Amino acid sequence: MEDLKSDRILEIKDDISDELRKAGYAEIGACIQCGNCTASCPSGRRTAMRTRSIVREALLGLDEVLSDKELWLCTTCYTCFERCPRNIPITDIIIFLRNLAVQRGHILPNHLNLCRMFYDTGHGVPINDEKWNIMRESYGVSRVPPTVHAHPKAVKEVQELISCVGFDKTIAWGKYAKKEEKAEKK
Amino acid sequence: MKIGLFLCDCGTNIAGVLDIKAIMEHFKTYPEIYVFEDKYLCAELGLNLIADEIKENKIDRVVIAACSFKLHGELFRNSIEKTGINRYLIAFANIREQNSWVHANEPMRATEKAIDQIDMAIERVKLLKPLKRRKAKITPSVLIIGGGIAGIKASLQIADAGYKVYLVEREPTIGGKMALFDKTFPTLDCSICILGPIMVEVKDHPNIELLTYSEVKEVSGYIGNFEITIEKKPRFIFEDKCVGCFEICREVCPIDVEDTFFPRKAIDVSYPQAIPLIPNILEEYCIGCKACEIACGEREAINFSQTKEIKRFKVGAIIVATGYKTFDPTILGEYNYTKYPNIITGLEMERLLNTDGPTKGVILKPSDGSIPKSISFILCVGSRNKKINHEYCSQVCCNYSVKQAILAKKQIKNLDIMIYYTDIRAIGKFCEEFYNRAREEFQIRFIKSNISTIIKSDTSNELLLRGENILDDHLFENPTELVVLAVGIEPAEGTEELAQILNISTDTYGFLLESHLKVRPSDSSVKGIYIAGAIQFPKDIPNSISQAESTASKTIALLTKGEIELDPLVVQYNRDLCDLCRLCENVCVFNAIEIENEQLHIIEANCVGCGACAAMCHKNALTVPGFTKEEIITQLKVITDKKKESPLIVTFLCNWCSYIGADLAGTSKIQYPTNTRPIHVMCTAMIDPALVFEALFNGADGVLIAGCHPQDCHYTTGFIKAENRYESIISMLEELKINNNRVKIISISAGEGQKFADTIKEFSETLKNLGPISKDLKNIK
Amino acid sequence: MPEKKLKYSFYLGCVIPNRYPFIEQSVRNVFKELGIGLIDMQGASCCPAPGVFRGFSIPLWLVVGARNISIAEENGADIVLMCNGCYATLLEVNVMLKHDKKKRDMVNEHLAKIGREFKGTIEVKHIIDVLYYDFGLDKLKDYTNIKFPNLRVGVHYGCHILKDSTHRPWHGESEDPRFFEELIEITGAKCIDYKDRLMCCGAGGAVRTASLEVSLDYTREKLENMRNVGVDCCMVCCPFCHLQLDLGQVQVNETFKDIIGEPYKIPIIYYTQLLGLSMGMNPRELGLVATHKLAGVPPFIPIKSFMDKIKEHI
Repeated sequence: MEDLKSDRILEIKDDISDELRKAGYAEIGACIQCGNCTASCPSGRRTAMRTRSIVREALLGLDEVLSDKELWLCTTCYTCFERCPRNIPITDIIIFLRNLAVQRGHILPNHLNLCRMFYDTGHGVPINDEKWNIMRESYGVSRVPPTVHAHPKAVKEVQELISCVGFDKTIAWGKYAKKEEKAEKK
Repeated sequence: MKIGLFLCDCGTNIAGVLDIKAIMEHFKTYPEIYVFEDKYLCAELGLNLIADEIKENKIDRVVIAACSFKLHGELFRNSIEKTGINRYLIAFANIREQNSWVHANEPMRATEKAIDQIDMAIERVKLLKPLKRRKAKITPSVLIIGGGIAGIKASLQIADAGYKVYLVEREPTIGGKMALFDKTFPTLDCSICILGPIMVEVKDHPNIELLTYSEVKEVSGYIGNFEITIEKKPRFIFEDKCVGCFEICREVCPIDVEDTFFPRKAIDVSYPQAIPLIPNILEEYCIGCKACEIACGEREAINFSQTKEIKRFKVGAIIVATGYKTFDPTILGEYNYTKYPNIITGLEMERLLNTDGPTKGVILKPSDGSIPKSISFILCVGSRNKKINHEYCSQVCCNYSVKQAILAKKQIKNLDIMIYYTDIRAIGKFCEEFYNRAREEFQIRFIKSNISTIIKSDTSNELLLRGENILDDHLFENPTELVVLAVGIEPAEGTEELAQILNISTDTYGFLLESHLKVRPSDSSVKGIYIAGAIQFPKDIPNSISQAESTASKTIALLTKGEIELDPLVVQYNRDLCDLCRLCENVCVFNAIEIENEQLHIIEANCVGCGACAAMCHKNALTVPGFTKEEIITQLKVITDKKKESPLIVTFLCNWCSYIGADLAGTSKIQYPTNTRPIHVMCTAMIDPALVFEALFNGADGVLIAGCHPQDCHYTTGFIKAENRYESIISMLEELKINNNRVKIISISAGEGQKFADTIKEFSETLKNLGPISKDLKNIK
Repeated sequence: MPEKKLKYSFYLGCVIPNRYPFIEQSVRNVFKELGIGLIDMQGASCCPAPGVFRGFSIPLWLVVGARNISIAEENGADIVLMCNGCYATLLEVNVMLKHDKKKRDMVNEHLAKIGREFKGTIEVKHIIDVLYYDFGLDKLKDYTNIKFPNLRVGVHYGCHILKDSTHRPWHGESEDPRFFEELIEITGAKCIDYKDRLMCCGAGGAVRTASLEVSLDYTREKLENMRNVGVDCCMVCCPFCHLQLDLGQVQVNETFKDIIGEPYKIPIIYYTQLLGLSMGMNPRELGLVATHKLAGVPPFIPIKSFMDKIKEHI
């Protein structure tokens, strides 16, 4: 009788599809699971990522869609959207699901580091070594680019905006920062 | 005056949203109004109720609050006529299509709107005058446009009944698409063997005049009396001299018109079974060597100086059976249809299978003429695709692909066939069995996968299909030698132009719009014009023929009556009020107004009742009965006196397009705000700017004028006239310092229900931002 | 009447100024030569990147993107940018905020705190769009006097210059575009079709940071398909693709050394570098000659073979 446990029954929940609807992605309901998206996906050709399954799981409200690492294997090439016969903004939906995942604490350490870098410098790929300044000069462009790098006030502006939208809290920024501080003190 | 108000619950369609009790209580307080309610007014019990109560209470005018008058208006008119009331002393409140169905979530406001609508109808009915119907003779002949299987079957049925039929076909031969197929599903019987004899019958029928290689150029008139102009393209052949020995001229012609699927000579017939069996010379290919003329010899059937001919005639009814074209897969770049010759469409596959086709029925790869070892079918190409506005299922592709797969399997030994599908829809009698046979008997493999792209293999000449087998999450890149794209069905080339010539409506996909999807599927939006076959929506052969026969029966029934009663909606003239300003004379494009010797005459036969002249008449000497300024103003008063909503929109809907478009929003259950009050007019050209200002000055926050697309206008230039008037309205608004966004003009066709709903939504938003009209009116003293 | 001079707000992004400054050099110099004005966007930040930051927080992506656009609005000139990723962000943010009042109000509420506002007064354009449409392909032809008929180019569009096609200027074409080929072919170079030419480089969508191996496997496939048809260089119009195909190529050669046979050595060239050469400009002005002695900086795949091909024509 062990095999007949009720956990074999698919538990359908609506919270994820509700969130999608609220965010303006009601079109997802029109999915007929034709598989065109998966077949268009260059990641699917080399990984276990199955776009159609992500859409299906999201529609059925299956939580694992948010914790599975496959959610992070989409390069957002938009081929699935371009070919979807139902005109479902699949790529945008994957991006939105990533937002939900992050809100529920699913974020990779590498990505957290990127956020930190962005918060500190205003750049996702900042000048973090003098060699880049030297290289710039050698190509006849200003040693420091006219971006946030040349304007400390601009970095503050970006930081202010990050806090405004609550992104610092979403990724448990405070906790992360404190831990680092402690580590530094030690 | 005793007015009977009859309310219909329409089951729960109306009563499920509107508070019918409250509405009844409201109107019971009115003097001289008798209020009744029934579950279904249109059913026998309901109609009896109307008749009985009219007699019982000596009612002399009637208001019906029910579905759109477009649906049952005639029924109610007939039933009051039987009780002795003039059929024009009735007014309708459309509380279903333009109320309960579109305001399902707002019962309170919807009920208030219904009360307004009924009030408008009551005020209007008080002013209506009895009218006499006009009678007209019916011309006992029929125009049938399109010589495919639908047009052919309709022609024969009507001709057999003894009426004259003009069958007009654009191509040099009748037969249509069916003549291009080798076999038909699900019986696999030979297509031309069924069709050929019927085509001959058409040619030989004494009542059928066959006009091939011809197109309809002009149509005017009305049910019973249409005037038709046809243009016949030159074949460069004397049709009466040609004996149809086409091999002789074709043989000597040096010019091959190269086409993989439709090869021919510059002088040639479409196929050996062509009807009429007369070749035509393609002007753009002919080099004028005259070899054919010499070969034809003493028959002297070749005529290089032939020019196009114009032919005019009258008919009583028209059947449009122009059929379909197949979807062009070029716009779906991922299939690389134009890049690789071994990717062909379903119709091209039919040509390869056809014994009279370019390969004599042998399936050969277009790239090198060799026999393929594997064939893959991709279903739903261009169907069920929202991205390209082809949301519909084309109905026939599953079946024809199964047929082609079976025929291919029969022809080529050890052929590997795959059919890639999303859902198999083997619709039709014996079609599911046919599909089962493909699986069981012919071992054709079906893979549930929507192919995402076709690319070419790096290592061989094969094509690769990329897909996901969705039953096991498995990704594949399957090689194949020949790909058949099961392309869907679209309205025939030139449908839009033809619809304009006939003044009939099209749906969002460009198919001809039926008058009512359920109860009048074969009527177009214009009386006396019927639609048959795939031009209404994708259909297989049996369904096309069914509809063709139904339109033929309708036509025969009409012609048999010999006479038709017409609404007396022509302009009326009051000499005493006229100051002979002559403004009306210029605005009428139908030559219905004549001024001679300081006397104005209405030529009733020419008047179409658009009311463009009445709108120009500052003395009210010209009026269209039922649509006089007084009758419209009385409705406006109802709306603005109570002003139950803010912002409040007065919406004028033209009879032919926008009213039907608004009804379509209803039948499609597309929701929009309740704050609009519709007023039915025959044409937007009959709207006098003074009516717009009347609405605004009395408290309407906005006025919407909705009419046909200019090219579809039932009165040729009605909407353009309305647009011109709109410009003067705008400049007057500016002068008065009223925001000019408060008046809006828009084209909404009978097929644009969504657009109507969207327009109301957007206009409401605009008006909300502008605030109430009282703000603007402060500027005016 | 003299034509109005083209002038743009010059949006750099991150990878170009901070890793591939030779692209910046080539664009600044080529635009000077073409007479197109550039106004620097002082204090501009990361766009923010559509793969990573949009994936983490859409509101964050919207407000920071709007801040960057507001800098260009102050400049009073449309944005020109050189990166497909920046294009995806700034184009979409711009369109979204212009049409969605709710989102615009939310964004402006936040921007007000730093004294900025999104007004919706400018357009966002990719450099390829500017050259192809604004400046004009035909006019550009008049400048390309030196031709390179022996040069075989593998074209890499990248994803976000094309897709999602809804708001891109290429008339919905996402399956078989030709505009980049047309721009390349005015230099006389030959564009060689290869399997899956429109396939992603593998870097985007946070995949390079999420799983380097998956991302490099994309790159390997692209490089393999290009090598199969034989190309002298791979032409890009995005610095992130540039990085992935250049630095990534070195990493592919290492990671997949057991399966790829010979290591790949396909030089990666940014479009304006080739365009400048065809306009007769000095390679030194186009970031094609390194004068520094730094190690561990791009280009990681030597471009000497490409320059040799070019020299055949000069």
